[in-house]
Amino acid sequence: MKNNLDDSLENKIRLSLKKEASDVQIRASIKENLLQKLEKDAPKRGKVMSFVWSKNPIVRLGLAASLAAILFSVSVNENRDSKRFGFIEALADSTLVFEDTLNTKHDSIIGISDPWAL
Amino acid sequence: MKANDEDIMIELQAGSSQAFSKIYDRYANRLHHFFWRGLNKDAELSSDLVHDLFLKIIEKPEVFDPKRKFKTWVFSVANNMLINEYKRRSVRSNGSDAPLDQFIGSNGHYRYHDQDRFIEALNALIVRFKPETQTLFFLRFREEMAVPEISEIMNVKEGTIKSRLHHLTKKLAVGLDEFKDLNHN
Repeated sequence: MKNNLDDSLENKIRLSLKKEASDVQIRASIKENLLQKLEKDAPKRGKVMSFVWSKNPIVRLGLAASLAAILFSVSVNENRDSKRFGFIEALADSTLVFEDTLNTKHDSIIGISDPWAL
Repeated sequence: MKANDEDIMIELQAGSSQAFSKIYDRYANRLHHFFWRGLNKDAELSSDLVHDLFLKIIEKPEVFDPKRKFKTWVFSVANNMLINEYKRRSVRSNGSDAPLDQFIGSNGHYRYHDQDRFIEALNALIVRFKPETQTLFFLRFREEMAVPEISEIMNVKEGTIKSRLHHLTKKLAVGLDEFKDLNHN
């Protein structure tokens, strides 16, 4: 009884599969559809990424200033609320307030009854 | 010089449609063939799965780590999709391949003289294997992958893959023995 494929038989199998692959073709429209999808999404993705990774010093300065403002805000909250709050607690607290502002309609700390009116 | 798949994927991650075109041309038909074999020659469903796979690549190209080999990664994804499809269809894969004695002289009643008939005989053997063995057959003989690659794609230990390959080739050798002297043009 034969236990191993000899090279000739193995080669026949490979050739058969190769021929079979050339007979079975994927639906032609798929590539076109996907390319359209890619080209449609590319500008959005490109704009966001090029902004975030911009080498323009003004944009970078703007990003740095935004980050500094966030950190400053957290720091002010921390001092105002209580010395007991650490940095993380203050951040969590301000996040909760932010979520509350967006998701509920009762008077928030900034006194706007309907946050979506912003 | 032909760019390697991983470099093309880096370009694709930057949004290049040319890169997408290149990687698609390299793999779409191969993946389609992989699905087609695994899904009982359902060409439409196979096309849909290739579409879905490449759509995932377009939408989240960053999930591919360029330090990995693209070929292994993309066939791993395809294999997972195939397994999901089996689950959806409730194809039980915990059975076993047909025993060896069923392959002896299994094609004796045919008279194969050409390539098409050889393919027919080969397919008659392959359908007796469980889905995992059919996947193993494809990756080894069509994609010509090495044991470590197959092991990674199928998420099975290398030793197990070697053992399964041994049994697979044994059954192919027995089942196709009468064709070994056939000229294959």
